Amino acid sequence: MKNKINLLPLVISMLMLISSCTKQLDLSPISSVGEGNFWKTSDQVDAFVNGVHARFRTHVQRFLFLGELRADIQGTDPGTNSSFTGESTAGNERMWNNTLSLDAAGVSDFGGFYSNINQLNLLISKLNTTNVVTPANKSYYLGIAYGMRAFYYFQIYTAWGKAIIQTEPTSTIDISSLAKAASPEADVIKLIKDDIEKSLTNYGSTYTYRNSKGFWSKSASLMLKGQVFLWTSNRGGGAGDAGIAKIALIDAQTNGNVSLQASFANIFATTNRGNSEVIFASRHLLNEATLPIANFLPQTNLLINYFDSVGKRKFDVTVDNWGGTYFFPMMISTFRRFNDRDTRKWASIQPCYRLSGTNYTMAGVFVAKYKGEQNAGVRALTNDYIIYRYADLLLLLAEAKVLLGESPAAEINLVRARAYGAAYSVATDAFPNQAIDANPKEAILHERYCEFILEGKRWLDLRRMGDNYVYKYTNIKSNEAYKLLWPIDRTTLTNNKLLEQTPGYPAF
Amino acid sequence: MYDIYGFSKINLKLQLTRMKKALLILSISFFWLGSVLAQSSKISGKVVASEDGSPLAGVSISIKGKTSGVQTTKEGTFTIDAGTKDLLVVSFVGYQTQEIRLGGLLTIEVSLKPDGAKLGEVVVIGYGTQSRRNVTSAISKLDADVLASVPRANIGSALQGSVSGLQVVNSTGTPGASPLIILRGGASINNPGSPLVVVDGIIRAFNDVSSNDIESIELLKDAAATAIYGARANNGVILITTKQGKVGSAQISYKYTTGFNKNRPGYEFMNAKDFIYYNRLGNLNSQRTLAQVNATRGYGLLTGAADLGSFDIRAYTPANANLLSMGWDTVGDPYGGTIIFKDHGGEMNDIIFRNTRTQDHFVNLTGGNDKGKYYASFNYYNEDGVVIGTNYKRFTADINGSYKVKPNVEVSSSVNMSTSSQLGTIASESNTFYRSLAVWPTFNPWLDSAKTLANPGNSNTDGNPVYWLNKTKRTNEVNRITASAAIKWDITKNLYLKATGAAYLLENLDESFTKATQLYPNVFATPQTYNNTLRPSTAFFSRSFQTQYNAILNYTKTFNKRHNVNAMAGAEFFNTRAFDMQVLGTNAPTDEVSTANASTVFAAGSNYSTRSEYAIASTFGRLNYDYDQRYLLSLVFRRDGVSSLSADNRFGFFPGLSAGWNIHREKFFKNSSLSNIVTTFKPRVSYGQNGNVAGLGRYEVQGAYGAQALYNSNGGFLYTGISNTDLRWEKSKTTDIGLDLGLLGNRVTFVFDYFDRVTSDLLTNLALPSYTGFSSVKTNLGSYLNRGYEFTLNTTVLNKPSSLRLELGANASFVKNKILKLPFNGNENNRQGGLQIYDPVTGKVIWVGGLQEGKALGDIYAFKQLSIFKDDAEIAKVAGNRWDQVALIGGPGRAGINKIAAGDVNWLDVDKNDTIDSRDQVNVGNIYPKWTGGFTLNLSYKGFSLYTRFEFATGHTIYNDLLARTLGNMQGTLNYFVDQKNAWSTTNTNSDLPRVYYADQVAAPIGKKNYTRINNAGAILNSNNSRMYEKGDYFAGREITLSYDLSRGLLSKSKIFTKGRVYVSGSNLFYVTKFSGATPEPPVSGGAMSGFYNGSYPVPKSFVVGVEVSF
Repeated sequence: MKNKINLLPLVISMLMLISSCTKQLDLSPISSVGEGNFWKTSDQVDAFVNGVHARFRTHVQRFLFLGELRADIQGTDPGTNSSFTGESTAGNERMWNNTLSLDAAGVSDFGGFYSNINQLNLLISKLNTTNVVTPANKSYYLGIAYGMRAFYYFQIYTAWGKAIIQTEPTSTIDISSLAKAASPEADVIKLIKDDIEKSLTNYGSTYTYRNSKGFWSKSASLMLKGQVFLWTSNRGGGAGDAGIAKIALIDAQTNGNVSLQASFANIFATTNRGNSEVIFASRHLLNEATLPIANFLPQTNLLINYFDSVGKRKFDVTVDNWGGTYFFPMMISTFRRFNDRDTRKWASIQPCYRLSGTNYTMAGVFVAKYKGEQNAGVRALTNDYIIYRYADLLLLLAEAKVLLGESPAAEINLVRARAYGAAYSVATDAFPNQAIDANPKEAILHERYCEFILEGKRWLDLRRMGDNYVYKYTNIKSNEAYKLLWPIDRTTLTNNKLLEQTPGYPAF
Repeated sequence: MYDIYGFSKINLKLQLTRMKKALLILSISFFWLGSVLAQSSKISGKVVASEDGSPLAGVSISIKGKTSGVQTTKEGTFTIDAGTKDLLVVSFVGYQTQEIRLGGLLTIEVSLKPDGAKLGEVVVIGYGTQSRRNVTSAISKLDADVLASVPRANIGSALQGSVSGLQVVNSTGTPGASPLIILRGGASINNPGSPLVVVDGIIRAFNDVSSNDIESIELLKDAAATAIYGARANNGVILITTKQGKVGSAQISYKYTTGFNKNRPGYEFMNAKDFIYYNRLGNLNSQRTLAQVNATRGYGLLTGAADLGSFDIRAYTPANANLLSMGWDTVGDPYGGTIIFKDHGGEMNDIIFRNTRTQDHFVNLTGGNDKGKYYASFNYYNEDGVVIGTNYKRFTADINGSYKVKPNVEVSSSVNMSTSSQLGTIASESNTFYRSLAVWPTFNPWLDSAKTLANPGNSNTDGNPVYWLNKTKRTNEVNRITASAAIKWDITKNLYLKATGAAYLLENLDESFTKATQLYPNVFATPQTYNNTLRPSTAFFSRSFQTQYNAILNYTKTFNKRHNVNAMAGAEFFNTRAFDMQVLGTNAPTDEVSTANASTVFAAGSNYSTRSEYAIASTFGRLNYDYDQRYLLSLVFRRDGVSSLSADNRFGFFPGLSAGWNIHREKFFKNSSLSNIVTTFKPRVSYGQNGNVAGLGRYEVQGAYGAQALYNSNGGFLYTGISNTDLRWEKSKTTDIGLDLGLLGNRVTFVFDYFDRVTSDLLTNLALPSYTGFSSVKTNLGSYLNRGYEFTLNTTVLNKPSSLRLELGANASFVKNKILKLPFNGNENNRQGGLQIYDPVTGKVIWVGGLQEGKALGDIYAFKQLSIFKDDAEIAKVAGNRWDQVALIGGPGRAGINKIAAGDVNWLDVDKNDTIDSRDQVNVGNIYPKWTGGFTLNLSYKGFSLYTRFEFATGHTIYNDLLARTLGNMQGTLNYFVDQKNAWSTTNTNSDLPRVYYADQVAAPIGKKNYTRINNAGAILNSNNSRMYEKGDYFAGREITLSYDLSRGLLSKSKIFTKGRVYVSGSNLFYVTKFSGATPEPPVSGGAMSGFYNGSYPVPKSFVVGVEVSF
């Protein structure tokens, strides 16, 4: 009997042990910030804006692919079908061959851009309700958020035409209505233009740059505005849109405090970040991030069997340690389109030769614009990826002027004068004295070609100026107009039932 | 100060107190050793086997409640001192234990009946034990023979083919690696999950537990059995019980095993002559220019100093003809001309693989009396892997004891410690088996003729691994300490209370340092240069500290002699805290200091520390009832509250119910003639629920803002996880119908189970449309069915104790899965992923593969290779107007640049529309095995015994990417398997392998996408060439052991040794399979079967000799 009496306190104490433990089940994260604890202080908002730029940096390779790879810069040389160092193109040839399909879409999942659009949506919604940041910062950050969002949607619009419009942050997932259709192109371009205006309104008269031009700025929004309105000007917007573009570009030119660098090569130097020519650049600092262009560069150990005819030297394993795998070769013809007196030729492209006896014969070329920096024997590709710079502004302005029937000479010649440097001769080099200047649009296209190798511009330039330029300069025929847009990859189609394949591409 | 280590000072003190207690108990147990005396008369007797009356040697005779005991002699006789009231216990392995009331007898003869041991054994069931006779749920027990001989770096391998219901797959042969273990096909769609492992009541991994210390391994399979572990038991429970002290005189045992391991041969590569010829022929077929070919590494004719120094290949000229006398050879170049080369084929193979040794020393000490028991052991294990650079080393120490401080109070404690080190391959395993082995056979891996200076090659995958091992310093240290203390208080004769506290500390310290390195051009530069002087030094440390406190009350009573009741109730609190940190420094100025203090750069993101915590609070109970051991009933429940769910959904209740009927104990059965044959007949049925939240992160439901990479030297945060407080438990409902059958005095036993498990509220990742900004979201909206059968058969074919004994065992399991429900996403069958093919039956395009309601997991679809086009005439006839949209090539009737050529694949045009596109695919199998199981055969004759164990798995198909990648030469310069010589050529038009090209995956004319199709050299399971999918069915010889029991021979007269055994054993001896790679086991990637074979490290063949003595 006595033992049975002992039982009761035992059972009670056991139950108490358990009930006291339930409180110990309330655990909060230690090494991340729980949802309820963010947006409380201004430095959290600062960190979020920084985070948005860090995510933007992860999309740089997609910007490059979408902007350039399907044009007339990369490719294998006639009569060959791999890079000069023997590396295969590993399937990437579908981009410059323009044989993309839903299983080889080149860029899948809309570039992953929505992963940042959602963050921007959240930033906009929180900035509109928070008062932890100063009014000045609030406006600046809203300027960034709307501007960058417009930039993303413009990338999607130019690549896929129609786009799913999402302007609210995802806070909960309603799995019963996940499918969402793409909106017509007109709606997308309207959103882009509206966002640009909101960005500019928020910036107000603030033209200052932050983070050494590593942050989006008012001038960046103005550049985007110029680019967008030139696009629509060529697609029915006519002189009206060209005029808007011109005003925006002149605004940035007048108030943006930018000027051309004296030396072309110096624009990209890792020691010259955020220089006077830069408007907005995605920053790549040592030990933070590297420019994802290793596949545009040859393997060091294969390269060292070739020669540089200019320096009359064999490539060296420690000096020419480009350290790539050459999946995206550049064509020799790209190099040959430059005038020899054009400093951009030598600053942008490295030619490689075979030497037999004393005869140098061209073997191949690769991009030399982004030299990175040497770090413990390894070349770290730590160049900033410039989204907008002053030469771009000048040539867009020239384009606007051409559309408005004005002379583009002043802007083009500023760019040419810097490019030719000491060799510049007004008589032979200045607009309108070159043969190509007979057609100012062609002159601008060529100037932009030489200026922006591997800056992700060429394909978009051809598209902006008019689809006939695409048929003229790429291997796409005019009866393959569907190829002007990109196909949507299989997974993306599968995950969203209301999404349709870009018309013209095989559904299987 | 201690707070940074993740537990409070109070906990630490508690811990120390517990350890002190444990030591105290142990020392007391030693003191009590052998202090028991007996006083009574001499009893003599003989023990014989009931089958043939032959004497049984080595039978244990003891007196119930006392420690003294003797063993029978070779003639089966014994003498023992005993009193008239004593109960004599006669026990012998393989026989039923008998208890004999002496009642004044001075000589007795005992006839022992063979035990249907499998049906009479004691099984561990979680917070208790039960006799197999009363078990009503699905529980398997590992045969002790499996652990007896073969030294094991990881005991997971012992489970392979030896327990029904488990799929055990060796994912790698790296010594010490744990195999993939899946119960009954896994309970989840995304994440199969492995069973919960409980070692002596402590939840932990079984890695580093010495197999020598293991007393038994049980597997709880159905929900009625596992419900006692509730929330974590969805995938089954593996219960490991280690050896404890035993009543009896002190015994010291020593076991030494040593042996050697041999690589399991894989594919054969071409020699240099064939390598040069076929690669250059492939280049010619791919229309590459001679300049491009000669610019290529390996088979090109590069003339730089580094290339000439590293590659023994040149254009043949009269000037270098003298090389022919120095072991060089020539080969005709398909481009014209002659090439002179030296063959280094096979050298890399000889560098990478080696025959290695395993050593296993084990010593233990055990003893005890009616007051105290103790056990102590020490184990050293060391195994070098057959791939250079791999090793596993382990020390374990185990000490436990118990002591009765009062007649009704027993305290016990145990400490188990291990420290181990595991080193893997220097490059990734798939690169070792793909790239390193396929390295150019013209490459000389040595810089000097004495072969002391290794050539680094082009990287650690494309060079001599000896160089890279010398440049890398790696250490790994995993420390595991479990400590527990318990007190058991017998409150009354029927009721006891047991309280246990246990702690488990797991630490992992991983360091690596790479010195300044060169590549081959640096070696041949004058002066020599470095390629990389970053000198990264990494120190990674992780620690988790886990505590468990529980108390159980147990009540056992028999009412009215027939109503047997056993009731148990308990509560438990479980907490674990994790801490991880890494220091990664670079740019050190010297090779001499390997630690990061010499580094000068510490990048953000690579240097971090993180913490997390997780807790579960539980109550549980069990009621076992039987009426006269005829009608058996068991009720179980557990209620768990877990910290990783939101407060509203935190608690889950998991019940289990099972019932059985021992029909053989019924009178009507005993009276029937059937009872002459059928000894045991127990049908049983069970139903239960249990849960799982293992797929959920510790704070996942709370959402998160996570740190981003630095941007312009500033830190950033983004919204990285949506909060989802609605998430709940996954719940499995399992029905199990089983039968335990024993025939002919249980000489034949048979256990059968049918199970049906539906897991609902599955924590499933739903792929999201990208506009949401997230790639997937975790939901509770899946439901998944596993259904299958399990059979276990054990028979004693011959049982002549004096001479021949033959036992056979077999088990087999069949499992099928089906997805019942998926999150609604608007697609038909709520499909996720998958692809569309033309269905010739309905004439429609249908969705297959991926995840679909009503479909099985793991089906594979591919393009069917009908044949290889023999010649142009056949192409014109069969595929004149064909358009191959995948390779972008066409038949002669199609306008276009690139044409289908002789030697390309003739694909099955399923929809007969002259277009080969992704619709033209067919099912080529499923990645999961359907049948798995094993056999054992145990033959003994006098002191000799032969033990063999086999394992099999059938029904799985493997995509052999290694084969496709190598034969398709997707890298472009590496070596081919010799199989390429049998491929289509102008002189061999009858082949099932396509013509050789330079790089199969690149657009025509370089490649024709013959060897691969859509995957473009990526790791995609579906949509490749059917020829590269192979059946993985296999039958494996896991163990053959021949042993000789010295105690029945040489040692029988010895006074020193009580037991002795010597043996030789071979393990993992062979696979009988049609699969062409080194191992046909289902490939594993990321903790799940992937179906994608890219060259795994096969488990080596091992041969050992061992000796075991006790004295």
